[in-house]
Amino acid sequence: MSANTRDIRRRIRSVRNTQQITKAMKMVAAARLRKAQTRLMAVRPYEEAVAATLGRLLPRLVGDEHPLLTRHGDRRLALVVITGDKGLCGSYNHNLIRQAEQFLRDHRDRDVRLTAIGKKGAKYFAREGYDLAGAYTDMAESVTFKQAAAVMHKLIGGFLAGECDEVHVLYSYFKSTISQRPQIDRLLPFDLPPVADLAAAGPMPEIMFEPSVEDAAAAVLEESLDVRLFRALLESASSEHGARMTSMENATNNADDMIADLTLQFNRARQAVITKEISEIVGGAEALGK
Amino acid sequence: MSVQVTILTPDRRVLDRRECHEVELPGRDGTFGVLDNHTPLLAPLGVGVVRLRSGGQVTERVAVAEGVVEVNENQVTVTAHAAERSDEIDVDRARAARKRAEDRLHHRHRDTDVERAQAALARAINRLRAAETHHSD
Repeated sequence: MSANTRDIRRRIRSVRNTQQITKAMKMVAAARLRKAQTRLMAVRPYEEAVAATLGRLLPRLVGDEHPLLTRHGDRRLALVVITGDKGLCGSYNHNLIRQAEQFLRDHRDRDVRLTAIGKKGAKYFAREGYDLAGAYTDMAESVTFKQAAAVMHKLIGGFLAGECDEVHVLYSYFKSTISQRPQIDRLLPFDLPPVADLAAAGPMPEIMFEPSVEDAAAAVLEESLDVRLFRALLESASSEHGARMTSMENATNNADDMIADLTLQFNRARQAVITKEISEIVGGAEALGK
Repeated sequence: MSVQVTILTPDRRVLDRRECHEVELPGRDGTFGVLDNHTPLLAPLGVGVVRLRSGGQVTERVAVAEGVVEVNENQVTVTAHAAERSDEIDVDRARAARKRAEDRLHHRHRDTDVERAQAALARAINRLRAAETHHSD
């Protein structure tokens, strides 16, 4: 066996080992994606209940100067960037970071402060010398509502204290396993649903608020902000698993192609060796026969 | 002559249109009850126990933490950050959580988050209260 065929065999083995890893990662990502999607579905009834409550509260909020609805300027923006904690998921993290930089370029004339959720974004922005208002990691995998509410609480505090004028969140919208796209939503000042929807709902019953309209409204508004951030985190988690699944699937397929190529090369090389040996034997026999 | 109680958390439905005569809710400024034909109401909830009563008997206890209740046309909808029915509560775990929170508060360090520990303690005590049949039932 020549050195050439041995090399090819070694490469085939190495590609096969890598393929086993990518295949395993694909399976893990698929299982996690299923779990993440279940959570995404489970939050919907809650979301709808909060939205319905907000809808009934709406007539009382229109024209009201609730602090969460009121814009006090437009100079200082806060952008929450949700990325993953891990790599090996294709261009998932890269796309989000690129989108964040685009946002920064678009708002060059303003003062934008970043909050990073996810190790990849936190590391990148720290390395690039951005001044982070906050960095949260280990929330991508199994984020709880409590964690989301804690981050939102801090953002709301900053907004109410007048430290920032707008709060935006950049996350990955989960369209399907193979399609995710970065999405930017403004959370604060809170955008009320269009009043046009109000007329359709008919006359509003008089609602009693405990302990006061302000407190009840603040609770509902904060609740729906918590839900929005939580949902963004769940969408991102699903997207990340989807992206990882797709890219690991591609890697596994590429490995198959490589193995097929290498096997062909190997057989050719082996054939060549055999042909060479036969012709040597034949040549030697002929030489003897003369 | 009844109200229907739905309790939702971000990850599941804890109660779905459960019928009862009266529901007792932990408002931020104290407990209040809702009977049928209650006027539409919107109120934030604190950490406490939601009690469903029918015919003078408590039929269900649910520990809730942080939420909002809306009453509309005999539908009582609670959206809470966390909610557990009394039969789901792991008493040993709740006790352990209470112990942890108490220890944190007793042996304070510089970096002890007192507010968080107090909130955790309140939740643990609340879960225990919901799990064990209480004199107020």
